[in-house]
Amino acid sequence: MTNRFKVDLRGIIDLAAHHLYTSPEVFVRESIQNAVDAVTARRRIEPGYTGRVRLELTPADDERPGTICINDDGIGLTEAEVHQFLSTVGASTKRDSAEEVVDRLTGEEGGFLGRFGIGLLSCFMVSDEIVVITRSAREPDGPAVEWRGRADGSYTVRTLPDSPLPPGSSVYLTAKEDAAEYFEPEQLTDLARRYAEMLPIEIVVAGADGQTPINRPVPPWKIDPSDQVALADTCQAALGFLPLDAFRVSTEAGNVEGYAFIRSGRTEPWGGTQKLYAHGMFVADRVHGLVPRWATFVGCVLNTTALRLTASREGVHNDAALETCSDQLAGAIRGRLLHLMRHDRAAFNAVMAVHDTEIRGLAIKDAEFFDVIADLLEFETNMGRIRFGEFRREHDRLLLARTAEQFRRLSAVAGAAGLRVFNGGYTFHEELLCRAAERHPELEVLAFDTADIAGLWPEPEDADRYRALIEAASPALQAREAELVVREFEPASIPAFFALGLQAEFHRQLDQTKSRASGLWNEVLDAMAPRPEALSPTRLCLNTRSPLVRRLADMPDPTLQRTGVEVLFVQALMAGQHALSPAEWALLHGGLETLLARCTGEG
Amino acid sequence: MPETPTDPEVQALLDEAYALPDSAARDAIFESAARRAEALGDLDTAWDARCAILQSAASHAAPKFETLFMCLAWCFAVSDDDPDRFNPASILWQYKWIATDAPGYASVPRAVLERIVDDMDDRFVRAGWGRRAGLHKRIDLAVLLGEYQRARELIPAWLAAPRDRGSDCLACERDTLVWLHAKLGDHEAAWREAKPIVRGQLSCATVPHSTFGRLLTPLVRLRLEDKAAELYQRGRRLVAGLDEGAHKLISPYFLHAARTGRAEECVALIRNSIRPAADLRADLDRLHWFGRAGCALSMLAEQGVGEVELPAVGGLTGPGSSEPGELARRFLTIAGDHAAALDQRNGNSRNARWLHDPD
Repeated sequence: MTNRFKVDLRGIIDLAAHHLYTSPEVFVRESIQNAVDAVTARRRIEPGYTGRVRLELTPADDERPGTICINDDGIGLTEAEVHQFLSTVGASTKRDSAEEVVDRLTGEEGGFLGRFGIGLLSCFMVSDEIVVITRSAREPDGPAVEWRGRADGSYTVRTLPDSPLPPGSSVYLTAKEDAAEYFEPEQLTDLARRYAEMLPIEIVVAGADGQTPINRPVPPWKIDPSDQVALADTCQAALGFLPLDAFRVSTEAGNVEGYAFIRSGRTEPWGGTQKLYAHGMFVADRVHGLVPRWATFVGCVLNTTALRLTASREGVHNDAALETCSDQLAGAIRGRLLHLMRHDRAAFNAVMAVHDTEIRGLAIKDAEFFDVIADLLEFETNMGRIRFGEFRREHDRLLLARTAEQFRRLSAVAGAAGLRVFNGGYTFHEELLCRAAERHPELEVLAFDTADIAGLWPEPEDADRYRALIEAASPALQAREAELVVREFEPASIPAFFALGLQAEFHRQLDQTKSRASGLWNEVLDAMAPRPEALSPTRLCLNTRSPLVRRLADMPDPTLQRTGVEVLFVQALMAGQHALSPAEWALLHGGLETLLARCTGEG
Repeated sequence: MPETPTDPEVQALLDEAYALPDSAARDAIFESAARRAEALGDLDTAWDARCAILQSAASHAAPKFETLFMCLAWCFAVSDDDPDRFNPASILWQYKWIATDAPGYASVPRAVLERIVDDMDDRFVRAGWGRRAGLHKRIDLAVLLGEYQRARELIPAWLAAPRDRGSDCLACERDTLVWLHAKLGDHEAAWREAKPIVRGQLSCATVPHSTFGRLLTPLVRLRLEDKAAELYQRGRRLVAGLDEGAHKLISPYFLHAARTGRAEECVALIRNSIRPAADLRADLDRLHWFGRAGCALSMLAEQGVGEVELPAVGGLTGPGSSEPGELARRFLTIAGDHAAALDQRNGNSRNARWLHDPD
């Protein structure tokens, strides 16, 4: 036996009205959308018909809540259609022939906006009752029909034989207590403008103060590309900034057209915005997957007639059409950057000055773009910023600090040794330099850290002079898993240098975290520790060019020598901007106490 | 109580990090700020910086998980000491990611992995979030340990558990089902479960990137080569569009390219991902990349490809072109070591068997 599900209509209405949409304000869009579709449908049977949509607001007073009447002079419904379409959740007057109509009415007039037949339910978010009075344009001699639907799922239908209503529909909403704000003139006008200002059918909001036209004379995607003033105004109004550059974009996939605008200022990382419209109706401020992630320096105002909208019409399905559309938009943006680079270098430099990180992101993903731009990219080094092209033409080896911390530690000593080190610690810098090296095999890129540079420093010729110092102080450092060595390096103003490779640095951080963490996490962190054989030796390098170190070496008292090295050890950690552990702070305090005691004759 | 001003140098690091997009470089600068703030006794700033790392890890594909483990360990330590000051709810959602990645390290003992999931489950329940996410992670763990039947047995309880704040991603849950069915060899079920993702109805930060890769082998085995070709193209494009971390997801695509005779595309995908792949730390990530690369290069050698040109990466490839069979042997040896380490920890031979016929 086959049974049928029982559907709780009240639950369905609640689900659609309160969970499908992100905000009650979408009732304005859904209402306008139904009205516009009704006008579009009438155009099918009356070519040349224009039509209009009117939102009439009666504000609340002491006795009555506010009401809105959404009136259109569109196709209207017969009594049978009222039963079929208004009273069946999920039915739509447009579904069956939407494709056909879109084919016929693309271009100036656009196709149907709705597809799902659930838009009317959104009105239950702001009104407990929806009243529709309608007369069909296909049967103008038939009676007008009134439909009253309530949020509990019940409805009534009656004919109005004496009504003089012309063909079309009027939808009446009465403000619920918690939705009164949407029945204020300013709010309603703002929402109508937000959703419907680009529609090609006349929309007005009427209230006690008269009529406010909603439509823009020309939607952004129809602006002439040479009208830079109109484009700048559009960008300011739609996206909130004046652009550095504006250019037309269109894609076959999704049948998208519109403009892209390059921002004049930095934005939050990856915080790009777009305004997407479908057949002129606003869809969303940001559509995931539409504009590539690297292109957040670009804002877009776009209209689609073919991307598939989600049921709430507040987003787009993440499907193959969207992916192809995104690729085509990416190509258009990249093409514009290449155009600027080749034909308007000043404009390109202005874009680079503001959007350096994002352009680097594109260069990593796009080999062709990378090849064109690589030589122009600037990188931070310890000897100042340098363009990659300038560097590669004169060098066959590039030293790369893989983190910003390692770079800072290396800067002074590498500079003194005449070594230029690149800072790979910023987003995309290491990847770009490695990619550049792949394109230029004559250039070798070497990861370089503080352990590597210490390995380059020679032992002093008078190494014997420091033997007693090393013997006195080595045990104290071994307790901290560091080896004490003497080396000759510049600048002489640095008495000691803490050489810690990347892996060893990670190991040190693990130890510091373990000192605070609990049992389970200590076991996890133990398991994460690098294998000992993977660690480069951790060394405190005493600089034999430093007068302080030479003086320390010549001191006769091993205790003072050890204390001096302990203090230098902590000083080197601090100079390297290492976070000190409590034991290291204690070492510093203990060392200073010992030295003070000796000075005062107490020790 | 007046707020303690943040140290200017720490603040400069924070400003620098906040200006960057989510990335491993940004995480490193936050970590640097956190350590310095902690050393100055400013635990609040250290907490904020580490929370920022944990939160960004959910939105970029290449977090250094070793760093995340450290962050989470530190955050739970201070939060457990003073939960009113350091709200544990701020980091619970990120715990799920980390719980899934720990099994990828062969050095983490099995018992510790079980305790991590128990701990996560317990913390979620204490936060009033329910058990659904914990059950999800138990399934992930069972799959990663190669215990597919145990994972299957957990599914009814998982899907019956109420949804809550900690388990609000439908796309991730569906992706797990696809993964599990594919591992169980039920390719039809994998394909059936994947359809809402393929149609674009379910997506998130990691889906469908991960799902399309999981589906390639099932679709070929179902003789749906056209669908496989479509998802290969779509998935490859999505993965290439990631800011970072493409190397962790790309390996099913180069393997599929080799299987379907797209030698040039296969080599290009390997070439673009070998350098970051060499830096991978987790055994499972390395097994997947090197295992699939080795298998793909073996196929290219059998298909008569004489030489492939890959960038010189220390210890893996030298300058100039190489014979694919030789590279394949080298990569498969690396993968074999990781498979052995994981299998030893797991107490089975799933990974070694996978390496003979990677999917």
